[in-house]
Amino acid sequence: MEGRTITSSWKSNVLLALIILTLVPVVSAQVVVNSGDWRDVYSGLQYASITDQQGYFVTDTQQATRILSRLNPDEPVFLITGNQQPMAGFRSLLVSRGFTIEDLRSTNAIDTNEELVLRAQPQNVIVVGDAYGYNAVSVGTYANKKQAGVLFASQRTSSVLEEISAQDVLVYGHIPSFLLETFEDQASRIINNQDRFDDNFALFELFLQEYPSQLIILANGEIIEEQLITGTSPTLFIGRQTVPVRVTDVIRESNIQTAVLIGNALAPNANTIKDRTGISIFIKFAQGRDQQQFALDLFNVPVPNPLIQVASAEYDATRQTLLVTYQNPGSIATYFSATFVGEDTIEDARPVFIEAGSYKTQQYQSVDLGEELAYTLLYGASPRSLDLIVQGRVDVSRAQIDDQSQLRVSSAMYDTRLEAFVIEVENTGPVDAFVVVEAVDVRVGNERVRVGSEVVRVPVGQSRQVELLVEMSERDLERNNELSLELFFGQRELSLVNFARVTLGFSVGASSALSWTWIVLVLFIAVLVGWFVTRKKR
Amino acid sequence: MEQRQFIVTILTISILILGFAYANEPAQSTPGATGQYTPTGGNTIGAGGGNVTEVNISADLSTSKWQGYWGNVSGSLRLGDGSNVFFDWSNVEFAAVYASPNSNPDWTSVTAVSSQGDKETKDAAFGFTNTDADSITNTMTGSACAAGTEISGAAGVTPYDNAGDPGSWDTCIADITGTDTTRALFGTNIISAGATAYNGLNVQFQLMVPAADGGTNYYFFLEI
Repeated sequence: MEGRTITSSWKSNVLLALIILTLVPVVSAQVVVNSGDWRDVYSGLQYASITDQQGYFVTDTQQATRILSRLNPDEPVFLITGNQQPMAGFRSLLVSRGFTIEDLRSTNAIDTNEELVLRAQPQNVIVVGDAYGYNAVSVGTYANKKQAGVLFASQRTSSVLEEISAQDVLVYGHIPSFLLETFEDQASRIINNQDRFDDNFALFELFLQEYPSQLIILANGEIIEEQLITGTSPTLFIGRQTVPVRVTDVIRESNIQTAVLIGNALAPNANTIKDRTGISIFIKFAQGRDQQQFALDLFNVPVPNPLIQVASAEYDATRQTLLVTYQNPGSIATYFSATFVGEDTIEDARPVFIEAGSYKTQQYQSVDLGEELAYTLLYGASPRSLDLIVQGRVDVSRAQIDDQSQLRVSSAMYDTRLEAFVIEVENTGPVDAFVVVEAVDVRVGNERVRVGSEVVRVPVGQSRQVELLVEMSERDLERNNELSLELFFGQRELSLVNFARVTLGFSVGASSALSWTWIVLVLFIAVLVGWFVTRKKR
Repeated sequence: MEQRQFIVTILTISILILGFAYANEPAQSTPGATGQYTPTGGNTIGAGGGNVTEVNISADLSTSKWQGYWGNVSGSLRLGDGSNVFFDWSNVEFAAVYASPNSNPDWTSVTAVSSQGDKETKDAAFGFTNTDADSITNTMTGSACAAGTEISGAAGVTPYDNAGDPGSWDTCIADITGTDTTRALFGTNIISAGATAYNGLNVQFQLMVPAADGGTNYYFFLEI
């Protein structure tokens, strides 16, 4: 009896051991990511950094062969392979070199990210959005120092946090409110200033409070490089084309003496920082091996690409006013601040918002500055991040502005199907009018945002619906009791010289997906087909 | 009967087409922070190589233990809309170039390597026998070597020019703290006007670094 019991126990133990062995993955000491999706690359390197493994990512075939020479042949490779691979056949290459491989096939970058965090089981977690890469890059070295996993926000974030029993959860940067609401209660801290620089500065200060350092990393959140994830110093964003003044203020206040810039693309900005602060700056710009030099292993991440241009300029001598119309030809809203230099200098007092695909006319009280003006536009994706610059010259035409357009806002509703505010605008004037409508201080999640429309033409005596796209959850709709609107309008599309401000309540509803045109067209086709079918049967 | 069939057919087709039309309503974009961070596409983008096209460095083999890198660091960087150049990298003055096997050196803790014992430690780190003629110990025999603001009073070596005479650059050796077992840092000053390298070319720097058996990956840094 005793013997049978022992045997049974022994069998059970063996079975249990086998089960455990099948559940525990091969213990790898090196992670390689072969994926065209930046989120796979980031997740793989991040996983490697917090599990004390060496991380690599493939950028092209030649670079992949160099990775081989750096891998430890005595250690297994944890290979993350994405749908689009910088080098096809990389796995076969590893096998042919005798590497033992543990595979993770990434068909969905969010799933992969979550699986890696679940594997690592970190006590600390940082949650970021994945629309752009800069927030993930911003938290990279902080996560490494804190041994925190970085999760891309999703509908499953809450359950992942619960599953790993995360103790400290930092929610960083902008996350769509409908996602944030699902795990906001689990957050220990939220950093979201609606500005990637402000967020970065806040984290930078937090890093230095928790882990004092004399060395910092300079970057701009546009690339992934090993040091931006495995480094042990705080990362500071320095702008793409210009250095925001606040960057140098932050450096001065933190008493930092030494900085490393990753990549050479931002060398002029680093030079500006050195001139302003006097700190020592080193540019990490290349690598070399076996008598050859190579570019750094860099992986580009998606970045917002705001655009702005001067569409026209007119001078109204009667009103002593310079009217400049700007156009945003890009796909995201932009903030800009213009400076014009002629006999005098005029400039915007504060950053101006312009929605994607829209126009905006600014009026400047000024003496006649001449028939051609030099301008400088500082611009960016948020009012405090004007890190881009464009310069040029514009011809100034003479005009006498006599705009007779008149508009009235009839109603406002939030259309849950369109995920947009729909503003009914009526033309009460004697001429056709063009209008851009903007809603200011709309509460979305923890943010207050400004959203705008494209230019809409409203014929005399008619009404038009103007759409302001913004995704709102039910909670968001409850938070906004009324809508504050700003209307920029005029009788010429490129000269929206009139301005009105309206505050009104709004209803919530869902429009039909079908227009009358559709219904008539479909019925017409159906009648035709029906006629053919019945005729054939006869 | 035919009339009823006709009506049923029309209704069926209408429902099908309307259903199809409804199902194909385009999804709305999702504005993000301040209503402007609308993602403009997927997250899959091409893997980017680095951008060192404006910086030329080249390498050559000296012995099996040493590699030489030389080149220029001047250049211009074009940004903006094509017709405008806002930054000219040639305006950036570079003081020194450094090479380290460590991708993440702690620049706040660089110390010069000068003693015999320290050099022998470095030989061991690279797997060299310090008594070999081309070991670090027997190659970096110079003293008071300085590079940029980071290295001074270090051991060093002066690579030859094309005439076989001591060239214009010293390569200095230092030690850094870091996670790599090979915690070496090598540096040399940049000569903006250029000077003659070992191969007769006029370049702005020349640097020689040791390489372990099987190769050593180096990261290069410019001090501005």
